Amino acid sequence: MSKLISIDEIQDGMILAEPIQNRFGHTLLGANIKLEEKHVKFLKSCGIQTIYIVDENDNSSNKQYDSETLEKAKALLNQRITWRPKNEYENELIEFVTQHILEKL
Amino acid sequence: MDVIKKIIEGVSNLPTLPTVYTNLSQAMENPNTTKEEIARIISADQAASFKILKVANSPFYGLRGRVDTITQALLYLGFNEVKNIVFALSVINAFSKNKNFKKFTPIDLWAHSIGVGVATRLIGAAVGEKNLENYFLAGIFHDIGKLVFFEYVPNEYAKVIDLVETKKIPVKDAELEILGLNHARAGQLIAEKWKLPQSVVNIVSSHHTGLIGNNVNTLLAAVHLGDIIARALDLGYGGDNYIPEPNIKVWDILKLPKGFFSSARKKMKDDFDRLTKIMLSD
Repeated sequence: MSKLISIDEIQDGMILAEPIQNRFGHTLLGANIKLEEKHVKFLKSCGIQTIYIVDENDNSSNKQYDSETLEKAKALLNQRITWRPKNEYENELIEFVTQHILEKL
Repeated sequence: MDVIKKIIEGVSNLPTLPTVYTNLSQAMENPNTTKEEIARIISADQAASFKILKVANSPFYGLRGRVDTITQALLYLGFNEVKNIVFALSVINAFSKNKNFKKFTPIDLWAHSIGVGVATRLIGAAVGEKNLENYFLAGIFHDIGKLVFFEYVPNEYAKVIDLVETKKIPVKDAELEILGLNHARAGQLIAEKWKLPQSVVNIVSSHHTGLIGNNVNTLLAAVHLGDIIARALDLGYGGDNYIPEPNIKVWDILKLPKGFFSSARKKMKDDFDRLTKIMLSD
């Protein structure tokens, strides 16, 4: 599970979840690097503002919900989304809404 | 009186924006104006300066190190982004916040708009857009037409809100049915009147489609999706609960990285919480 953060929030030891590329497509830092202060300075000098890190605390997507809660979430979702996903992005978007609804229930 | 006429008259008698913004705009039009002069103009309005520094220091902008003075804010964020923040704060203050309908208030709407601004800027950053100036502002202003309705045709707008409930339709459709124009059109009138940049006028008039003709417009596509995200996460309230279908073309325009939605969720909520507190407090 990765998380988008601003480079201002980087702390020593955080793991980069996805490679960082500049606008020409050159890779500046590869995935799975353990971030340190020197990386922050380097990214700053390249004008990078946000990065994806591995989010170890996030287990929301692994959380188990009982079938009644899931049914309830599905009903709420169907009231708010009246269209069907047509590609991977829209599947992700619907998953994103579902997670949000489940957390609120 | 005809709704459109009321709006056009209303818009032409619009409350003037605070002195700090008009002085700032004039100064920035002059190429000889120095950073120190700009800083002096902004600092003359203490309340505005205080909020700008708070916004500049929030993790939303991702600046390293503290911003303690307006001069530093101008240096780190750039003239235009600071002007954008001043403008957003000025407009939020220019409209009254007490025209409340049962289920929809100007505060809900501003919160929704800030949510769209936050999501839009994060989309821009995630797709590697280099110039993110205007991304936050575009989100803030996309629904300005609804404010026009709140302000100039409150009685008719109360009927719009009722129709959303009884007929179970999106607010933009209810507006068209009762008022004869939706907030995208009403907003375009005010955006032109305020001489907002054409990029922002386009956002206001076309955020529902996310596209003008066949042109690739990353900012417009980002606001279109940002609006959908803010609704999906209940960041504020835009007048109805629907999460509209994205225009399929925006995915090709934006080319978002895989996993963007789940990975950006927490940051969007956190940035939204911080910025609404700063920008909507008196």
